[in-house]
Amino acid sequence: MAIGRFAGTAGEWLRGAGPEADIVISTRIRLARNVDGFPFQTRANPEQRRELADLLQGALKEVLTKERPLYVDVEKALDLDRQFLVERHLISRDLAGGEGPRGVVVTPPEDVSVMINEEDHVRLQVLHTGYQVRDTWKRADALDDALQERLPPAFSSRLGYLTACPTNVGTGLRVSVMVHLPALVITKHIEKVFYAMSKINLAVRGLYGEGTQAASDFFQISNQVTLGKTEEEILKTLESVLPEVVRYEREARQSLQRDNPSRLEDRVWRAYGVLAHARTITSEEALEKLSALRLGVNLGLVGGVDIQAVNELFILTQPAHLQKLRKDELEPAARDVARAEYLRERLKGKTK
Amino acid sequence: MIVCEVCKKQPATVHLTEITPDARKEAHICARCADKKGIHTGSASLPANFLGSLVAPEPTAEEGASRGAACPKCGIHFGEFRAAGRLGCPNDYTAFRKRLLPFIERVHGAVQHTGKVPRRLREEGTERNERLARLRRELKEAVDREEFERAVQLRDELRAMGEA
Repeated sequence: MAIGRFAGTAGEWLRGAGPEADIVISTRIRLARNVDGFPFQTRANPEQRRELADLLQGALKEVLTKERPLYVDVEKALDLDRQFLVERHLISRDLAGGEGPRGVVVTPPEDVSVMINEEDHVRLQVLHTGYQVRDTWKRADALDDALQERLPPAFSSRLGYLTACPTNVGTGLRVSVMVHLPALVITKHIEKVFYAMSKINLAVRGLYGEGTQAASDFFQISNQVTLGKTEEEILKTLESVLPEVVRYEREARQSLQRDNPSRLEDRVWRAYGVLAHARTITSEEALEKLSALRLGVNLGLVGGVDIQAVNELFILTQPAHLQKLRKDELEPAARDVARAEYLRERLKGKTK
Repeated sequence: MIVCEVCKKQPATVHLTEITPDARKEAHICARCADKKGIHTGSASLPANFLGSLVAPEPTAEEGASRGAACPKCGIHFGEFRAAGRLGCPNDYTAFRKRLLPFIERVHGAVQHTGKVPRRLREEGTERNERLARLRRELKEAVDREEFERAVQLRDELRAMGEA
């Protein structure tokens, strides 16, 4: 399958090069749209869903001609490939686990992915590295315009873009910024961030994880309200707090370095030690240790390991990715061994 | 650090805000307990009926399906939306307007879209506004010049466009 060529690399958004990239991993804009004249998913019969998939796939290929997009038919894809796309943030768990005609259009740098026949007919996503709210929105807005010219959306002047779930009605816009806040977690100040966000109707969610795994040091901050505010106002709400979160995390990092530098260094180097030498490692432990290593690299405590490599390892050490790299289906215990091997390959002897 | 309200052991990392007609409730639980309750944090999807259950006490399937009129376009009943949390077609927003609007207002704090409008409608809107402005100006001129026949004609054109 064509997506196989993605294994061993990660999307552009993990480049770790954007503004505030030491703390803000990525900025994502999602637009929920439905094609006028069709029922929503719950009431669409298989023929209608097939027709929608064909119409949307055709229109999106025109809209994204220059980007040479790839279409993945999720209905026909193998379970492992579906999981692979979820791990890369290209499709949702809901699309992976759904049924009937459905798919995703992806550009090769993985900055644009459009899910077809998820909860809404269209879930257009633009994902950029670092803190880039404006550029990400501009791209999504332009793609949305181009798609609407080909397929008019379900829209009402009163309620805006009509969505299957009324929680998305209006702009259908969700802006999410993924942040890495290890110092706020260590210093136990993270709850204050949650509290401040909830005050202005922003949601904070823990990110990553397989099953019951506890949340990591990664969080996604996003707007909740989609109706009654313009896109500009929604972007501004996020922009009003994000610099504060970044500053707060920086201060927490500085205080860790100032108050107990050897303890911080020990934490970082122990993490590196485990990652570069373990013989078996669960995804939970890998995630925890990679988070500490990422902090160490960003603070200049560990040299020789580049931040893009660390960012990519978060994705490449997840179950479907490991199995794709090893070209074999692996049981959990075997995956832990494969994960440790892969981490050693990528990290051992790299530090200065 | 807040401790999980369910197991009272793990740190609470999942924070839910439940908005019901009467109150806003908050719950803080750990990832493990959240998972047991079917709340997934990874892709942020709630149980299928989570939203519907907030609108009103969950009706039985039979009750739900029989209660109220169905949407003439897709045939869905309001009870089915309540049970599943998903609407059947865009027309449901019109068909269930009375019952949906209070819910929408609770979630968003608003019932009027102020954001982006599809380009086609933007252009139509501009054309329409330009035409209205022209007709109003011509009407005023006609009245000023006492051309009443012309004024009546212009008034009718304005009325046809939904203007008083």
